[in-house]
Amino acid sequence: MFMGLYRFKPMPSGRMGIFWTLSGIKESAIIEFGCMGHNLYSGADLRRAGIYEGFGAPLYTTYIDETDISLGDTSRLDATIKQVIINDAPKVIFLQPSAVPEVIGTDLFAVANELQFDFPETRLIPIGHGSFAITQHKGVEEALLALSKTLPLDIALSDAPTYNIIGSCPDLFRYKADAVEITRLMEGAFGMDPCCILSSDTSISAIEKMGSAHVNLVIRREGIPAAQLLEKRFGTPYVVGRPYGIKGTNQWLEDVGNTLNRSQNKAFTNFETELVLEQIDQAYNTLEGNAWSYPQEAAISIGGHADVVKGVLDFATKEMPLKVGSCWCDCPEMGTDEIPYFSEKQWIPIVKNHDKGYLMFSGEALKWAGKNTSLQISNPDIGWRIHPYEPPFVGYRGAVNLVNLWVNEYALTH
Amino acid sequence: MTVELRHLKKLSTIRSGKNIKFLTPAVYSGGYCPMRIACNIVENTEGLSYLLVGMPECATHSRGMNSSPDGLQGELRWLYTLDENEVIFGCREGVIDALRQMNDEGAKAIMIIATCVTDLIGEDLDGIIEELQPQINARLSFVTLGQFKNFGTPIGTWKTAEALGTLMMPKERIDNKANALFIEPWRYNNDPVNFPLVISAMEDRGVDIRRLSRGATLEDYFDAPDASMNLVLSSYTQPLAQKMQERFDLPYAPLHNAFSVSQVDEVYADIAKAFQIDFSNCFDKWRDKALELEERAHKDLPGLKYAFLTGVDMPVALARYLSAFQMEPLLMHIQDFHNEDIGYAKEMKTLGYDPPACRIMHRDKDLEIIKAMKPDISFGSIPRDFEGLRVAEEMGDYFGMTGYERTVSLLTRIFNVLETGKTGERMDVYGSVPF
Repeated sequence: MFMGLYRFKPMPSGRMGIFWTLSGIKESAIIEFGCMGHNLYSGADLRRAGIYEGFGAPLYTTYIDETDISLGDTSRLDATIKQVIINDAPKVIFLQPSAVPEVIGTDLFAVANELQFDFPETRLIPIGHGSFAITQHKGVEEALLALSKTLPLDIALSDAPTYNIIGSCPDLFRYKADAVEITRLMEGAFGMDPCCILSSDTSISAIEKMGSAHVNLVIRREGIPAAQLLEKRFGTPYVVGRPYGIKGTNQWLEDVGNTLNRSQNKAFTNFETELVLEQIDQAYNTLEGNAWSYPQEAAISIGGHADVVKGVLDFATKEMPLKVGSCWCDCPEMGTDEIPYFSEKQWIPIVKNHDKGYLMFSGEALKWAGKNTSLQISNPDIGWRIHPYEPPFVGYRGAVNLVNLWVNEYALTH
Repeated sequence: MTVELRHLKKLSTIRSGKNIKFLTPAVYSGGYCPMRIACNIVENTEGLSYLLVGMPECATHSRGMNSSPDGLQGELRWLYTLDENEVIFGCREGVIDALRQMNDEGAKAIMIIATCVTDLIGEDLDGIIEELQPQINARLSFVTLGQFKNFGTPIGTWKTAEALGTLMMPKERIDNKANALFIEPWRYNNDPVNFPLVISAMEDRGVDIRRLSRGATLEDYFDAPDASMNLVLSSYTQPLAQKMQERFDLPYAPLHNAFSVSQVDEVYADIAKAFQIDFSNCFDKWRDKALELEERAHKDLPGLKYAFLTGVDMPVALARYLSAFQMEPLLMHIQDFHNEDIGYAKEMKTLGYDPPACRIMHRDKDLEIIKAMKPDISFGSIPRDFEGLRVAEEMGDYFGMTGYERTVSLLTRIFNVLETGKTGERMDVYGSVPF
């Protein structure tokens, strides 16, 4: 393939990463300045992914026509803001350009500064240069950073210790279930409630209180700049990582406890650990026996977000009897020797020719290749995710879920 | 509620979609991009591949959730995204390389679908095709669909249909052959595609009908100029029929805009004459029923006020028909404006009707405005739980439907709504009269 030529859905743009990251924030509205298609289709995808009307931010667009482009006219934005305030009275309106205003160089920051005087009761926050060089991941990082920079208020630490999750965003497959499992772990191990789950399940009010949290849990590397900023401003320590597997989850909880200088509820972690070990015992033996006899069938290949791939791979190969297959990440800037970035050209033959072992990747590619789509670990998605209680991939319950998926793949193929 | 419509233009002053303003400014939450429609049409054409040229947003959303990059017959659905340099300096080289590769992979014909930024930077796709076509086997065509000047589904459909026409080459005429033009992007109500009764009546009388609709093959389009007449079943395909008339001297029968019994009589007579066939009495029951309902309409409908909501196919042509019954349009949602609409609007003005035209882009809020206008009946779609408007819903049923049967179904629906407030069951119009 040539640069820019794709068969499958390409790497989403930074604008898309920003848009998706902002979409879950209640008490806000998003206005996209530009053509309408992105808003409509992204909105539909988000609804399928569980961010629906009344849950997250209402998604508006202005539309833009030839006259607006040739005259550099932004008056649609003015009128739309007025209407959105009448409709929803949001505390904050996020303003985002689509691709066409980016090309013609509309300065949304200047426009927002000007319009802010007309709408003093609603904060207008332009987000994203959204240039053509940045990817979805950079967009997510930029949005998380902008939220952490602009919205938190000066505030004292909460009396009852709380935490923020930074990086729960709908571009990650099964993001919601993972966030729910993390809140369960934190409640069980430390008796703590979340202050803000940035950004898939939060509100402007919760973001404003982020400075009161005792620790920030950064569950994807794009959240690190936001955590660093919050540490600088509020002194909030942060922990980076996603808790995969049994030992991995225990280690993650230990890291969180050490950072908080707070002891864990061992009864919870011991109970959970024992429970998972019992639940996966027979499946472990099955996978282990097969790996011993047919080592080539124990290879696990995973493609997706670098942090997800690393976590699942570590659990599969360090705690479970699987072997490293072909693993890759979906972002050029995140590639390493262990988990390199693979372009479509590189992963197509792996997916197409995969015949033994376990293949976990996007629903789109698995379906195309006729592979087991229940092993989907990343997006693009192929289904609706409106069930709020899907099993996670992280935490103790995520460990059981992953083993369940692998042993069923074994059962299906034998 | 104060109804503020001063920003809207009157129907008679509108010359293109550009003049149609939004009823309220905030768009919730966007409208269908014509690019997506073009992709759907190509995906529904066996043997035709596409190369989408645009931004990652376009490439991602060009595909439905379950779309595949490969068609069942080896069609290629490839995506070309512009990088930061190409946004400034153009994407000519990259697109040519992509087309060459698609040709090497066996694409028989490729529709290049250009989206907003490609359209904005003015990439010369015509020039690319002129340069490359002699060097490759795959037939090339293109459609540019920047949404900033191509608003929605209708324009996306008719421009793609026109672009399909450029793949055609002159053919020797076959006397008893006709093309039924019903190129449509969606699979909603009419699936598998049902054609109006006139089509089967023509076939019964020995006319060979080529259905240029979902499921048609690339070869069907290549061969289409061999027909003696095009039958236009939708305003979306009227521009294609006009182009084929210009290029191949191929006449067309505008079945799509013949709502009244007299108009249907006229177009059927033209078809019968062209193919030297006699429809004899095969539509009599439908025609009689249509006449009966038209007579009732002339008595019952005068003075009734109406509004068009979203989801009404060919709103201006339909409004012209309703004007004959002295129904008064208060407000019309018009997604895209067809050239032929200029004539219908003129006729309406002659009859004393010149409503404001708008685009309903924030349905829940906009419906409140329409409700305050107190129409006797509205046409189009409303949310399930919206109350206070009597609405003839599911107007998409009439997409691709023509003839006396459409007149009967439409007028029956209007009377149902006026009498009961409900649309009622969908009428089976693909057989004998159901009463």
